[in-house]
Amino acid sequence: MERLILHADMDAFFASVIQVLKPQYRGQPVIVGGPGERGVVSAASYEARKFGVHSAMPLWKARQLCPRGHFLPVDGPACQDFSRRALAIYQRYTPRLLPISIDEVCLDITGSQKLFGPPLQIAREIQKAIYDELGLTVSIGLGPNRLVAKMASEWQKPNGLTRITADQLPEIFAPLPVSKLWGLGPVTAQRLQRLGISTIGQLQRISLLLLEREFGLMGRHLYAASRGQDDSPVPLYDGKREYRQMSEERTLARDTRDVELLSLTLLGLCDHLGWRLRREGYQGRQVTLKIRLADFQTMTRSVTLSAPTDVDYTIFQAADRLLRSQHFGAKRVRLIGVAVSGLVQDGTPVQLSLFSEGPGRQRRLSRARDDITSRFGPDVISRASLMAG
Amino acid sequence: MLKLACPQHALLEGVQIVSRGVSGRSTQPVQNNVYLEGRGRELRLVATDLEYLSLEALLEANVLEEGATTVPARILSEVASALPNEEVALEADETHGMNIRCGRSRYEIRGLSAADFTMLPPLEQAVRFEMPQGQLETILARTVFATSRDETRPILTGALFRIAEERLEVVATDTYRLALQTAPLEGVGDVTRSAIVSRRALTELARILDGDSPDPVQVAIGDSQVEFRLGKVTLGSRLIEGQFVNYAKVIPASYERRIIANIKELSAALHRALIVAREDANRVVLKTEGGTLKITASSQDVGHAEESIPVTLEGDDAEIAFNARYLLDMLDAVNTTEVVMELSGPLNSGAIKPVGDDTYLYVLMPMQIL
Repeated sequence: MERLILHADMDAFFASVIQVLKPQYRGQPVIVGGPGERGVVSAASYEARKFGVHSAMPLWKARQLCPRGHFLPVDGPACQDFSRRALAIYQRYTPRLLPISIDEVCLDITGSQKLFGPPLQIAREIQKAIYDELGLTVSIGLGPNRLVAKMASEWQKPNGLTRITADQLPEIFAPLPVSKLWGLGPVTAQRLQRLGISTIGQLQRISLLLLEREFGLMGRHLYAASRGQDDSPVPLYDGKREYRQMSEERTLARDTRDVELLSLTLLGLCDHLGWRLRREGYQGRQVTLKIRLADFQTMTRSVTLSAPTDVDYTIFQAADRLLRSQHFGAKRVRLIGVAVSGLVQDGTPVQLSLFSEGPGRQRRLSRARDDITSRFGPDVISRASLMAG
Repeated sequence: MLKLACPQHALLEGVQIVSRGVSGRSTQPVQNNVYLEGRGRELRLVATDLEYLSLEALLEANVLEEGATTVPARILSEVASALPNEEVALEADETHGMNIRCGRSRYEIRGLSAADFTMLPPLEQAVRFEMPQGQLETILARTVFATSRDETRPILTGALFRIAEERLEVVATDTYRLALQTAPLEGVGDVTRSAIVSRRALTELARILDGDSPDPVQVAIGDSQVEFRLGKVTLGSRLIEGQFVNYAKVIPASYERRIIANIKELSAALHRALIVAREDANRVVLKTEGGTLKITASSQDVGHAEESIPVTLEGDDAEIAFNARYLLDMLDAVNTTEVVMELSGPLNSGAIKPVGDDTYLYVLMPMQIL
């Protein structure tokens, strides 16, 4: 039987949550992001998008485009709460459900139609429930698999509803730029561009053999994705958001060889990563540093800690040691990232160490900062070394 | 060039002992070989990874021409073990090949020049002492298991040998537990010396020590190397560089309660509870109710285990969670009838000792729910 997958993506989630909670911002351009001017936009309300502001844009640029916008920090705890409540709504329609991120979820509703009616009706019911109960709008895509459903969800926004069936696939996919394909990053898009491939239709005409030779494992994905093929399952939801790893990365404003600048960037990334780990209730043992050089050569280095951690500074110390043991020669670094894996959830028994008093103190410090951030916003407290000089 | 004869069983024994010294990962091919040297009335065999292990064996041989060569350890070991137990004739030529003849078998093994073979330098200024092999065997059995496997902190991957006040202290810790064994040392005089010996060397040493042997083991601890001599076999190793952790500060100075248990009963109960506990990071909860110690383990996926054994409790009831494996490591290593656990709070380390043997101390950190 053909599967039926529903992909739901909340519209301007971080900004919308604020507009729901604080009525004074409704109908106003709200730009959520940070911290600081070097931060990026996490979400822009549709009123702000009219000015050309979009997510992932540097904040300083957003200020130029929309000087009268309301610039606010992400309200982490509130967003978590809305995300959890949305999950509870989705769960009414299927047990097969996979949270992709805080504001995106994928549902397998193949078996739900007998109970809840045709797919479009299920989708409309979900949109209505999310709006009535949370005050938020959600864009929904329907498709024969996760890849197509995800792409369909991006078709119309906000509050969109798009269904792409298997027989419509070739026609709809062919004229799209390759960059629209899910799981395809800007680097691969550029490489395809250099090979003269800019639309999905052109990609469809390349043989699997050639793609594999050119892109390795990624080639196989490109071949299947360009045809809208994806057989990844939607597992049964066990009530937990399962992470195998969490990561943060940043493309630098300009390529650099300055280790101190890289280290400082890393400190900021580790701060945010630690905050996310604590928010989601995870600790990890393995710290991985990712470096992409100006020529797009990417390297990763890992170290295993003696105990799982969610402490910013412990993660930073490990990542920084990896950074300083690298030799880039004359090459400049374009992107730096850090990941924590080997995650265990809070509540997992942990063997205590005879020798560490440090992490306990650092952990309390991190938690105290989370508390301040959640009440007053991320601009109130920061490491001295991260404050603009 | 080298030319000698010796019994097959002697050659085999020597080769099998020393070839464990080869790391097999050396970038210099000659270091993957066994060095053979005939001199006087002896055949000397040496293999070393030049780092944490050097093994040397001397065996009686009828040396016809003095000389040396090197041949691949694995091949030599295989050939030696396959030969009949008769006289073996070894002969090396200028091309660094070695002829092996025994009974009706004849092999020519390609080797490399003995001149290129590197050995650990001789021991400089060393503190020397000796002790019965059985005693060192016990010391190692009680400590080496607690060394760390985390290669990012090399100093913890070895055991500290500390000589002070005519005593030897051997300490190992992986930061979760610490094992400390002391032994009196006579005749070393008023010297103090600390050395961190790698787990690789100590594991190998434990393998060749013979508790029944009347010959003592002679230990020499230098500034950068250590040597253990057992009759005709010598094990050498470079020391791990660096300062060992300040272990004295993690030894509990006091306790609030003591639990005395029979080791066999405790060990058997822990082994059974592990069936469930291993699904929960080996976590067992120890809880006393007067003279009864309850050991429980639970796992969401598997179920629940509860064991109880009679104990002697001094002080208030205790409740603490430990890694059952870490407890069993210690219980398996001691040979007394009873063990005493000195505990304070549920997040404080416990001191565990064999009753009636105050030379050994095991300090174990509990487990905590995150």
